[in-house]
Amino acid sequence: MYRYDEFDRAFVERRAAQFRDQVDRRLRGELSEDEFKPLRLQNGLYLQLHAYMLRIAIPYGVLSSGQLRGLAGIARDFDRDFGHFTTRQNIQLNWIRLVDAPDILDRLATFDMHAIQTSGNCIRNVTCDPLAGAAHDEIEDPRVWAEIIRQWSTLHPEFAFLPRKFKIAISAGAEDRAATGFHDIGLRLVKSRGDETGFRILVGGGQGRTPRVARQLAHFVPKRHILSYLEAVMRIYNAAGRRDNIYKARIKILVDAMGIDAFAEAVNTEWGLIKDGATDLPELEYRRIAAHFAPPDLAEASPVPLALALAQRHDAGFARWVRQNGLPHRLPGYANAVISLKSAGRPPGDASASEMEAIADLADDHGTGEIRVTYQQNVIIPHVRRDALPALYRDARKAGLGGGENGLISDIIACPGLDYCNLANARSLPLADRIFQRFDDPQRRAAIGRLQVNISGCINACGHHHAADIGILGVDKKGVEHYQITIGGRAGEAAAIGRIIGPSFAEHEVPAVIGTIIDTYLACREGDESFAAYIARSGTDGLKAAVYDDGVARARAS
Amino acid sequence: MTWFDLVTGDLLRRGVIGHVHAGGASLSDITAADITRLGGAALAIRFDRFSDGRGFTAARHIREVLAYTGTLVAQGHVIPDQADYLRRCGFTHAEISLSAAAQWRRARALAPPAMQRVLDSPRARSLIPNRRVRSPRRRDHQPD
Amino acid sequence: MSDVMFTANRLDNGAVIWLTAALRWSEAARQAAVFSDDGAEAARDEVAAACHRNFIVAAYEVAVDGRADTSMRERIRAGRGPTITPPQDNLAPGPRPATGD
Repeated sequence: MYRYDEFDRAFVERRAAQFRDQVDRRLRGELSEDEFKPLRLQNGLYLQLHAYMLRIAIPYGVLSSGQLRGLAGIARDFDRDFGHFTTRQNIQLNWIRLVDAPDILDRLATFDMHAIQTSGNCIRNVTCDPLAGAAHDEIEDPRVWAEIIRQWSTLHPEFAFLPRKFKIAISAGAEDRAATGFHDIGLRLVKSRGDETGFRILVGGGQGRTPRVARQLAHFVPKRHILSYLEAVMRIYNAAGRRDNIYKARIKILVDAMGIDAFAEAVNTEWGLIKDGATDLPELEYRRIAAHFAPPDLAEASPVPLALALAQRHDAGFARWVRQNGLPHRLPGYANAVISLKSAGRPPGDASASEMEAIADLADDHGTGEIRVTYQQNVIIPHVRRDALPALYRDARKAGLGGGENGLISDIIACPGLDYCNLANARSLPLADRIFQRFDDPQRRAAIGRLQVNISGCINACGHHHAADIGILGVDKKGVEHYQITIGGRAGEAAAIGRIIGPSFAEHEVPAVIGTIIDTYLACREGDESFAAYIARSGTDGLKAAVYDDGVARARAS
Repeated sequence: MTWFDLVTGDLLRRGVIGHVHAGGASLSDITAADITRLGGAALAIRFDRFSDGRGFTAARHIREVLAYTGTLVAQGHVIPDQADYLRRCGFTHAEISLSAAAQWRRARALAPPAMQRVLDSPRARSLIPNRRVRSPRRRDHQPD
Repeated sequence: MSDVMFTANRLDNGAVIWLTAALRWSEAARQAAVFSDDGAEAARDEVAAACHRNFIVAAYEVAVDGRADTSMRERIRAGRGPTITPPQDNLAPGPRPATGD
C-alpha cells in the first residue's frame, strides 16, 4: 500500500494546523458559519441530527492494521467507542465535538490519515475495487491510479469550490466491484486492441433524486493521460455546472442538459489544449507511486489444502462461510476473506473499537496486515492462505465477526437514516435489523442466494437503494415512516436502476412484504437462477401482484 | 479596501483596474483584445460568492490561454482561506479590507504545500512546461 | 400564528439544545418552551443573538400544536441518540486470543 513520504506527512500535518486555526477563528467569530462550513466540510466534519459527524478518509478503502487500531483509539478517546464504514469506503464517527476536531486531525496525521475532502463541494474519496491487487480478474492494480488521482485531486486549487460534490470510482476487474456505473466519473481499466492499457471513461452516474447510470464519455484514454483528461472534465463541470439549485448541480444534470456528444466534444477540445502538459504524471513519479503497490511476496500454497477440506466437512457453518465469504484470489492457493459487519442487532457497517482491533489482529495473524473496506459496508482481509481460513474463521467467531453473509439477503446496505441524519425522512437501521432477523435461518439465506437489499432513509439515496435487487426508500407520509420498494437495480458492469413497484408501506408491513417477494421468487424461479436473473426474465408483474393484490401480505402484517 | 499580495503577503494601495470579469461569466466573454486594451491597468475577476469556484477556472484561462502576464486581482467575496488557491491559479492580489489583512497573512502562512502541479507547485517534477503557458521552456528541475 | 419551539446545536460541541422559557439554552428537551406571538418574537431575538455570539449553529423553529407533539425526527433528536444500539466496546484485559492450532 502507499506509504507516506516526508512530503505527505508534512502535508497532512500542515493541513491539520490550518484547520486548527480555522476552528479557533470560528469560535472567536472571525469566521462566520457560512464561511466556515465549506472549510469544515472539506475536513470531513458534518453537522448531523445529534452532533458533528467526522468522516475520516480511507483512500480507496485500504487500511493497515496499525491504522485500524489507530481509528479504534480515536473512537474510544473522542467518540462513543464505535465507527461506521460507509458505501464510499470511509469511516464515520458520530459524536465528535468541534473543539476536539483539531486534536483528532493531529492524531490521525500520526498514522498517516486525515479527513480531507470527505465532504464538501470538491472531489471526494476516490473509491476502488476492494480486491484490487488481490483479484483474480484484474488487468492491473487500479489502486495505483486511485492514489495518483487522489494526489492530483487533493486541495486542487481550481476545483475546491465545485457546483457540488464529485465522486470518482475505479475498477480494473472483469467484474465491476466499485459500482463505477453510479459515479460522477467511473473509470474502467481496459486494454486497447494494441494491448495498450488505458481507461474507459463513464460520466454522469449517480443515485439521489435523479438516479442515472453513467454513460460512456470516452472508450479509451491512454493511462498516461488520465490526469489531463480528468482535469478537462472538471474544468467543463466547474465552469458550466449549475449553481442555482443544489438538486440540479451534479455533473449528470449538465451531461443531460448538454447531451453526451456535446459534453464529450467540450471535454475533448479542452483536453487537446492541456494533454502532454504539466498535469500528466511524469514517468518517474508514476513509477514511484506504482512501486508502493508491488504485489506482496506470497509463498506458494496449495489451492486445496487438506486442513481446509477437513474443516469444511466437519463444520457446516464454516463451509457456508467459506462459500460466501472466501472470495477468489489471483493466486489459487489464497483467498480474500470477507469479514461481514452484518449481524443481528448490528447497524450495517458498524464496528466497535474492540472489533476494529480484532479485525486488525485477523489481518496481522492471517493476512498481510492489510484491510480493505467495501462499498457494501464490510471489510476484507486480502491475501489469506486457503489453509489459514479455518484459523481465521475461528478467530473471527471468537470476536463475534464470523458471520457468512457476503452477498446474501442478510448483507444489507443501509444509510444511517433518521437515527443519525438530518436529511432523512425515515429510519433505516431498525428496519435493516428486522429484515435481517426475518431471514436469520442460514439455510434459507443460502437457498435464496445472491440478493442485495439496500435501504435509504431519504431520496438522497446514500444507502444506494436504486442499485439494489430490492431497494427500500424511506418516505414521510404525514409524519409516519413509510417505505417504497424498488426492484431490479444492479451496481456492477450491467448497472441498472430499480423500478418502484407500487405505493409505500408502513414500517411494520415491510418485512412481510419482503417475505412475499422472496416467496414469490422462490416459487417462480427456474432452476437456481438468481433473483436478478428471475427479474430479468419475468419482470416485476408477478411480484407486484403478490405484494399488492394478494391480501396475505397485508393480513400477515396486521 | 486594499490589495493583498498573494505571493509576498504585503499590502498595496489599490491600483487601477481596467477590466472586471465576473467570475460566473462565460470564458469567451474575455478576449485577447480586452487584455491588450488594459495598457498598464490591472485585470480583476469578481467573486459574487466565495463558494462559487468559477473564478479559479477563469484565472487559469486568463493566464494559460490568453497568456496574460499582468496583475490579476480577486475582487468581491473571497475569504482568507482561499489565499493559496487564488495564488496557485494565477491571481497576484486579493482585494480585501484592511482589518482582514492579519487573517490573510496568517492563512497564507498556514497553507499546506501543493500536492499537484498547477501553475507552479513544489511537488512538480516535470520538465515539460504546461503547453497552455506561452513562456520559455524551463530547463531547471522544479524544487521539491 | 402557530406555537413554536426553538432548537439548535452548540457550536463548540454539536450538542442539541432547546430554548427555555427563560430564554436560556438547555440540553434537556423537556425544558424546551413553547412560544407564541410576542414571546416568539423575543425568542427569535435570542436565537439571532446566540448565533451572533457564536454559541449556536443550525437553529430552527419547530411548529407545535400546543401539546408539544412532535415529529419522529424531533423525538429522535430529543432522545439524544439513535433508536438502535450501536456495537458495544469490549475492553477485555489480557492477551489476544491464541492463534494457530
